[in-house]
Amino acid sequence: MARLQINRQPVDIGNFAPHDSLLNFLRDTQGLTGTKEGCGSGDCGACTVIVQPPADAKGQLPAPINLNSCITPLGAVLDCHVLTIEGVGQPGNLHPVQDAMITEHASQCGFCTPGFVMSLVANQLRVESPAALKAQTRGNAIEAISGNLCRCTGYRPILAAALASNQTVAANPVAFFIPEAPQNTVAPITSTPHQYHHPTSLPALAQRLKEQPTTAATDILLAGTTDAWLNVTQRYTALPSAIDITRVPELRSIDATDKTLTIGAAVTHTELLQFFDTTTPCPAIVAILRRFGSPQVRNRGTIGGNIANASPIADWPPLLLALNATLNLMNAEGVTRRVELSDYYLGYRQTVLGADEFLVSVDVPADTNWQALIAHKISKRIEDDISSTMGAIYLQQDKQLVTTCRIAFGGVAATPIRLTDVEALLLGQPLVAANIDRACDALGQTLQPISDVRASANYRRSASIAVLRKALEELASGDRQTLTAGAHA
Amino acid sequence: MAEAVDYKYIGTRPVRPDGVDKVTGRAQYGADPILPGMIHGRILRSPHAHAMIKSVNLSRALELPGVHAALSGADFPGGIGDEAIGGESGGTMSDLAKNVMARDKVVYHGQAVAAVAAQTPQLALQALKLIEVEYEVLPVVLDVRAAMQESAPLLDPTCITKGVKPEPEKPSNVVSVTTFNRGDVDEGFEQADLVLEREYIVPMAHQGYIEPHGCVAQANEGGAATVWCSTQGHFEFRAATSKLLGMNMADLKFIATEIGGGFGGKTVVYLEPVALLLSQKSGKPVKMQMSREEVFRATGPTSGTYGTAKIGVKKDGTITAAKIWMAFEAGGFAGAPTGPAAMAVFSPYTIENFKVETLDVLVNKPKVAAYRAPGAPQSMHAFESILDEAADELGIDPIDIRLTNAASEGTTAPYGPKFPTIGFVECLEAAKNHPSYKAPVPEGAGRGLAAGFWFNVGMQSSAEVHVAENGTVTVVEGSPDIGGSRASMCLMAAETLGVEYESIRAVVGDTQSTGFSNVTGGSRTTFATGMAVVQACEDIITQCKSRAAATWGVDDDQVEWEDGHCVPKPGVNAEVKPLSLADMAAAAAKTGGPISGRASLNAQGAGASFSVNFTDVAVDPDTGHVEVLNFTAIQDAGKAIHPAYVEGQMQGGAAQGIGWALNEEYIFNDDGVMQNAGFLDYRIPVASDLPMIDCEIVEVPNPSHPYGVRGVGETPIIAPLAAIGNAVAHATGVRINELPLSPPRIVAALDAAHKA
Repeated sequence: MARLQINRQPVDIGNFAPHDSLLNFLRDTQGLTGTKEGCGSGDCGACTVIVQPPADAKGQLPAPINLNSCITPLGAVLDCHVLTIEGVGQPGNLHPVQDAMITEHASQCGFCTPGFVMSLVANQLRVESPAALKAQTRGNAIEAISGNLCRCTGYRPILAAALASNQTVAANPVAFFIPEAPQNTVAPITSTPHQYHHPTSLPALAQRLKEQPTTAATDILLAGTTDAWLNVTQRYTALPSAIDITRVPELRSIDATDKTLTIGAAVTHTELLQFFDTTTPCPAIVAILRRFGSPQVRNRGTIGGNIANASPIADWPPLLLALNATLNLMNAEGVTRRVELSDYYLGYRQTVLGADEFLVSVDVPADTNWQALIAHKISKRIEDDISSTMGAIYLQQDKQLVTTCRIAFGGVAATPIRLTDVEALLLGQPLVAANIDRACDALGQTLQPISDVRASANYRRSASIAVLRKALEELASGDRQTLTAGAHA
Repeated sequence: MAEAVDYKYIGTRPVRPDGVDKVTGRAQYGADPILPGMIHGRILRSPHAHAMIKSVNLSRALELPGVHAALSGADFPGGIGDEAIGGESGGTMSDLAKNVMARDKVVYHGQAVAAVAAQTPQLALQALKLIEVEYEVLPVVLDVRAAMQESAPLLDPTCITKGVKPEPEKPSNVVSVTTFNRGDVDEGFEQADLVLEREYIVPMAHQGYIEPHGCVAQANEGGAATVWCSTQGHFEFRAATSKLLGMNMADLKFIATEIGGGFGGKTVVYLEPVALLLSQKSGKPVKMQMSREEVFRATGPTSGTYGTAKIGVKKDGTITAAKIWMAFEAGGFAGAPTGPAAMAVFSPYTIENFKVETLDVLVNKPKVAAYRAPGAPQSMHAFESILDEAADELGIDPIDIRLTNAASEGTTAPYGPKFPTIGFVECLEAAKNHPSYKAPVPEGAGRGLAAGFWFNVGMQSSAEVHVAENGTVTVVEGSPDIGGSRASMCLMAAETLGVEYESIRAVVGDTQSTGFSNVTGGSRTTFATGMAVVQACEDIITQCKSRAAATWGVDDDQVEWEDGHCVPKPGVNAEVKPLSLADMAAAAAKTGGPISGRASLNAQGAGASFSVNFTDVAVDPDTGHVEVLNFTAIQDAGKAIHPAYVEGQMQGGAAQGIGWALNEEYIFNDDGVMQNAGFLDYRIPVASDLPMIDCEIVEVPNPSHPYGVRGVGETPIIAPLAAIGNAVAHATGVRINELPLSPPRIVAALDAAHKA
């Protein structure tokens, strides 16, 4: 029997379908109706739960994460410890976050409250020390709840509850550390009757794909499911089987060599946010990732999924195009090949990926100057939103002349694109006003964006020009600015 | 008349009795009940925005194993009359019937056409795909201006416009015209030093409650039925369901679960009659729950509007005349909030000459429902914007121009009555004295101010108050608690009875456990249901005094009630010990049995509520993004029973108004299909979109309520629309009279102004 733990109790899942979601299992099968469904698409956070994954291949226990259970497959949490609102605290033994939500009057209708509690508890679990928790600001609290919608309160009392409960927990952190490592996990999962597979090595993944000859890899491979699961919850697609790649160690690592930085396809945005914040600082990537979806989405979503699903408005491709990235692909026979990211996209949602191929990792040259990257994302809402347009510029100068220049945009064409014609205008030239004007004019003439519900073509063009202009002016003056659609968080 | 007095409990901020349930996941909402043998219902919705239904064939769906019932419009009883729905919603019962399940025609994309109930939700979805519907597609009309053209496709070929004389001979999409007049506007405009006339457009917007509609219905063999539902008014849901299904109302028990937001949108039935009919057909309990997409496409948002406003002002700021013409989208069926829109728009001001005309216009969009102060945000956006522009032109401070024209006690409201004590001037003065208004406008930003007004209503409420044998108290009332009203009821009961807040609990009774109460809407609950609770408590006091008199052997009028105790009147038998409610309860068996009080009323004198909002915004000219730097909401609450929940209403309403002003809108394609039916693309504010919204509660007690309460829930959404718009105008120098002020619209407007 496949197993997991819910609120410290082992639970037998029994047989289940690959398209069963964690939320439905919690609510309908387990009767844990404190976890709510508000949207079924990972946009409102009412279904937020905390998941403590099992130890990885090296025996390391990953950090617990909060995620949207509506767009998380039940199979994805096999062997995990799932903490729901019912397990955070009960009457007489409330968690400080729950207590503060009551005393700050942070519930009005209360429907979104469990999700907020889970996100705030997860935020406390993420913080490295009591001192850091104590020092959290309103900005931290806003970030912690940026994946949760409340329609009643205007958020003010919720933010007050966040800051008040941080103090309580910081004063007595041990008492409130909740999720334990999953217990009683059983292996191997492959012996169970369900069709949700967790290969645990690259060869096993290839082999599993080989056993599904009639299905295209993109239809069956699952990673963070922040986009893929919308097929299940919004378009009601049934999955006959699923291969979850998130426990393949080769896809889960970030490796630096002399030549490249190799990022596994199943590395999450949260992990990359941490990596580019501390290990290899890159302010541009950090700024974009902070506005990428929400904590719940970043905790589950992977860089590989963001690249491979070939959305023209994905946030990673422009960054990686500007960084001159190369993709490592593998097929079901275990044969690998390398493809330049700039050659990867063929058309709207079309790529060079073969029917039995999958993305293993992405390489960025080791000699990248991470400070030379500038990126700006324009969206209607600052957080929990999709870009109207996004631009990334990697530019280096020597003796006042541009020596390297790569400009990439998303949201302005059927695929993420490199603007080589615009780059050519800047290469070998000084970054002076006249050249910046020329580059911006050229960009405006090159882009042929579409109009849709997110933005008009004209807006996308003018906002893209604004992005490029601001980036080039920053580079010219050496003065970094924010152009987060006006965000000054 | 209530005076400003010190209360012991009222005005304090205790935690709510349902607080623990809300934070532990124990609170049960519409989709939470799980019953033995329960199956799941889903609705098939029209893929066309306008079409005749030629046939519906359910047989293939019914053949699918695991499907227990299926139905279409033909399964509902016919002969539903044209009487008004009542409550907060416009429209007729026969239209409501068709909105619940289409009969021979669909008038918007997403309208319910058929339904199934099956073992699992997934199976029900599969079964929907097996239902065969034959449509004859008709041309679609989406814009009110286009819908008013003679050549426009008619949604209802029998619709003859009401409210115009002579009565039109030809049918049209204009359901009705509401007109209010005073004085002579032409003369008024001639007296003015400045006359402005502008067009204003506000988009269709959704309440955006986070809980989708959900219910569970269980029909018993004997004909009785129980329905658990997320509703603002379970009594009105019972009445509508009984009518639509031809059932005996006495057989129906409606239980209001906790409600995950409503804002007016949960005053109308959608799922309940369908779930109950499916339960009758299948013999099993049926759960139904909408997806977010269904909520957007097929429940009632509020009207988008197109209108013109004209104002005449003298140099000193006196308004000499004002005129509003505004067409409201009704959606596919009649019932836009044209009446309140027209009545509200000039209410804050003394205007000698005005004309307001509002039109209820059918278009192929979802049928609108109430949304917080229905109609007023749209009409007042127009007038509060043009008034601001006039103030700019004349160089008058926006508070001063409003003070010059402000309504006060004795002013005849545009809709007829003379205002009793009202607090508009007090709100304006509070704004003027507010530190944030005195502070300079931040560099590069713009400040905007606007006013809001809502009538508030009373309507019918019931309450019973039971004293347990140890003196603790249960308040039973019939108003679903949408934002903390049980706490407010407990506070009013504590104050009246003079007992601890902690010894009182309030519950919302089901339709068979307490007396009739209208919807939680119209900002009426704390006012009207609160009044019923206070009267029920007074009933208890009267009984206690009588019992104490009997115990002491004195006359009833020789006993007084002081601080929760029966005491003898001064000079009467001073030897006896005062009797507390607990003493009375303990001795109840000897004095006549359990102590209970009750009250039922149709509350009169709901005090009008006024607001003033101001805000500073910064606009990024390159991206068109508006950052709301600060926002201050000032409102007259009469008396704030629980100030934290009054602030909650003010902040929440402001957040909704800011969202509507900046980003929220229904976007349709030419076929009438909504393009942004999800929270990703229908953008309600997240925390980072909003500043810490500051509140100042003004208290000008309502003389008609024992504690001075005025409704507070609806007024807060009105002023933000124009306040934000006026602030953007001041930040950019460009007036943009169409909402939302989304980044693309701002960039386009700035570009156009730049070119001009």
